[in-house]
Amino acid sequence: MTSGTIIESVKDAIAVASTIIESTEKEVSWLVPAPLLVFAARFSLLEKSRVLIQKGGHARGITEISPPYVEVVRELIDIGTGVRHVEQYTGAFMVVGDSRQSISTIGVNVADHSLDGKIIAFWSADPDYAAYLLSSFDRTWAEATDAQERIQELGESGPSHL
Amino acid sequence: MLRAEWPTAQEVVDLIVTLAALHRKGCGPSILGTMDAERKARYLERSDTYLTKHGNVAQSNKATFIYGLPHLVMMEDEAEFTTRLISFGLNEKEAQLYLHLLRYGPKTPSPLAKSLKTYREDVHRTLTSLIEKGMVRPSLDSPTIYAAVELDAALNAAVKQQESELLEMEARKRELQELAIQERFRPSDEVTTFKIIKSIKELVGLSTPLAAAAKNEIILVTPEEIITIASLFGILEEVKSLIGRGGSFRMLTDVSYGGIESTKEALDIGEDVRHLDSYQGVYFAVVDRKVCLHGINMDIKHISLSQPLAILYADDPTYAEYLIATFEMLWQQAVPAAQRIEELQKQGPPPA
Repeated sequence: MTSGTIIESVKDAIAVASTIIESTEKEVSWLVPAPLLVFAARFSLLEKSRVLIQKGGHARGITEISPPYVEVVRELIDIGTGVRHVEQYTGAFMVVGDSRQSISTIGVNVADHSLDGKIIAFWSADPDYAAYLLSSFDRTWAEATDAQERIQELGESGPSHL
Repeated sequence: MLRAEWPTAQEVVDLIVTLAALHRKGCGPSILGTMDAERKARYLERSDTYLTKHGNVAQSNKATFIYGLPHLVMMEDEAEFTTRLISFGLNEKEAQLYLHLLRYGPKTPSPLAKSLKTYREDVHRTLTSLIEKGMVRPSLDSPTIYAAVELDAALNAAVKQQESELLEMEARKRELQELAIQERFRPSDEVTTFKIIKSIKELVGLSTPLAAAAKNEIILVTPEEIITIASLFGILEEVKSLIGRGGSFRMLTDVSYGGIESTKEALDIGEDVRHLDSYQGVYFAVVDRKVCLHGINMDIKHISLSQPLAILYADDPTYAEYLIATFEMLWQQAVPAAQRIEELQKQGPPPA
């Protein structure tokens, strides 16, 4: 296993995720808390995903979709990202590009969702480590709900949500 | 459909920036007049917008988004407003508190906490963050009264902050990319091993010699079930021996009523054990700051040797450092196991 780098702030984690998406050619997979998706949108990560998809790449992501984040999820769906919803996820959060580059963090770490928040994450370019993360991602993906279905559920629970 | 009616967050930001610039110049003309033809057409098509008789842009359907004078952004629904504020970089709590102050006027933290059904400390934290963002202003009186900054000024502040954050983020990205070229992703000098542990049997088979070979320190974050397994398969004996040799063993777990006995057993042999309230099924261990075991989403349903698992084994010092940093953060949040046991015993067994 080759060495990696420890990332200690949400800002650096977003910058790393941006680098990963930018350098991805085939597929990016992410599993992140919904508040971080808003930062991703603000820092053009969605635009980078759109470029990847336009070039023939794939993007898929898992998050916990609640009313304040429906819009950003819709944006992701609109650009062609496959999105699924997971309820009360407790495992590792991650962004993995081309089954090689990854940034991941242990779930309990991400209590502070502010941009200035502290985080302890691991940035690696090891394909074996990426494969390990992806095996967990795929398990969660298989159990997750389609985002459209979830958004519909939220809509049914009250129009004010949308 | 919402998509058909609303501009995107980015378009709102663009509009606010344009409006703020015009406002600074003392103008209040049509928003559409500032857009190029293509963008104007797209905006009109997407948001069903029209020019009011005052030359301002408004949205006709359902009045969900009315964009009138430069300082006026009105949204019919509180949840929608909160969502918009979130897209401006506020978190949910900040958005709700700001909206509350905007709607009901200046307040001290106590009534705010009551209205928002939260703790005073929580309100203080959120207010501090909003002050830093330029969206709330504290009074100089005592007790301090907090007022929402006027919406357009607040959004201007948010946009400015986002602009500076974007620049900062680009700088960070460049630094990190440099770091990647210079330092990272070079294979480490020593050969390291990586493999996946796929069952409890394999985990036990690996953990016993690891504990026996430990020289100085083991740290562990684990579900209670693993403590029982460690006890059943003699791993505790090896840990006892490590402690006897002067080594240290620290463990974080979620101590429940049913796990009191196994936790006591661990404490009896000299393990330093803490209870973590926010424990969420995490499992990892680091031996002598090098050998790591890390499981994502551990879900042990039965204590049996054939129970399937997916645990990463690595003898990588950097990965160990990452896990240790996480451990130390969690250790600070945890309470001593003895204290937790005392609390559980006072509460008595949970209802069946």
